[in-house]
Amino acid sequence: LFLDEPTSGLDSHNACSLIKLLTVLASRDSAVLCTIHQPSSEVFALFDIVIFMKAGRIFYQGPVSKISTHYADLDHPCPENYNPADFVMNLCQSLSGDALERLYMPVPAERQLESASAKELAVVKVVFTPSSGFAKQLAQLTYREWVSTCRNPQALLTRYGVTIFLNILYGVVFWQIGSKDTAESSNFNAHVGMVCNALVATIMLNSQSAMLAFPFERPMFLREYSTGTCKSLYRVLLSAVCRAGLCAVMRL
Amino acid sequence: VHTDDVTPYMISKLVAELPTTLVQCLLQYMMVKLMSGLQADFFQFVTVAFGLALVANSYGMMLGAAIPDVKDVVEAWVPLFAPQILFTGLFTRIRQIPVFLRWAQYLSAMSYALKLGYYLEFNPNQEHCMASEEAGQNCAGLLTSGGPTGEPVLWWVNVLCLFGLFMVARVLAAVALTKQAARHG
Repeated sequence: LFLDEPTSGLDSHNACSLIKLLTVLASRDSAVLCTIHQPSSEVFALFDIVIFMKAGRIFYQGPVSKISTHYADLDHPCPENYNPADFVMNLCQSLSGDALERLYMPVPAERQLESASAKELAVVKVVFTPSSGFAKQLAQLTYREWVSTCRNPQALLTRYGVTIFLNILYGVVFWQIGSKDTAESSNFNAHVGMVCNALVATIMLNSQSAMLAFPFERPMFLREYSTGTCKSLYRVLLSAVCRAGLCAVMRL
Repeated sequence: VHTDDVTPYMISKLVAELPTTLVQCLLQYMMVKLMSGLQADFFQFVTVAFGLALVANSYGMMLGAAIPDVKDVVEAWVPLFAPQILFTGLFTRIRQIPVFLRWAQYLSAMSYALKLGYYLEFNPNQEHCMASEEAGQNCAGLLTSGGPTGEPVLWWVNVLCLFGLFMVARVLAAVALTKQAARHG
């Protein structure tokens, strides 16, 4: 999860609540990276790893808890009860020349991508592989779908409301037609019409929701999918078998 | 959620839509039963409607997966769904449709569901069909070659065909998503 200044515009309480939520995500094997601007000491302490950058170079990279000892070792001890974030920011703004240069962190040679040629950079391809198995992905996605449905009761109510309205209309037009004498052709024709109209209503009512919702949900899927590389048709076929089982169960 | 193929996504969509669609079908046919006096077994009819609803949902998903703009999806809905009704034989008998177009009836989910609906509602064993000789003739006529659908009803063939259309639409939706995701990546 990449976030660009997620605490911007939030008060200190909400900023802290948000970062606490991100730490919960991080504790569940999600990588959370975010930029942040002037965090409070409480918020700052919630981060595990921090990178301070100045003019495109890494000023500090490492655990938040090690900032004080790191700078104490370099003869710049952080005052007691002082926000380490403010301390590092002040340090990199107030120092200059060799004193500042001495504090920059060295970049290991193997990480110096900028020294590679454009041709070499062009072939650098990041390959993502999912850390979760099929069952976990399915459980998470199903949970998300369910939460999404529950969060939008208005859509569900509208769908059921339209169903009720349409069927009241049909019910009034075909009032108790099924109970009338089928021997009379007018009754029989109306009875057939009732069955037809009910099924036409079913197909109309049920195609719309997926059709209209899907284009809005698709970008999210494409983003998630594009970080994967495995496009296995056999899994699509496997899911078809699963659906066959589900349908059989529903029929029973 | 980091996903490496379309399958969990498609299954999760299906699992989420199963209860909402089932409730919608129960609600609809409860009203049909109470107000219009549906004679067929309620749960059997709801099962047919539920099957049709899932196919309709799959068609909707297929359009939504293949076409990015919701306005274009709405435009594409008409040519996909209008023939569903045209090829049921409701307004014209199948044998009156030009021979070179008759194959399209086999793509109509509505046609299969309607045959099943007729089978349940106008089965000669239904009480209203056994009330008199004329009633029996009307019911039998609908289910045989004289009926608007033009063919005798084999209920399990229609169930299989509905299921086949459901599968084809879902797989096509999955393929459309996969292709676009590959381009997106």
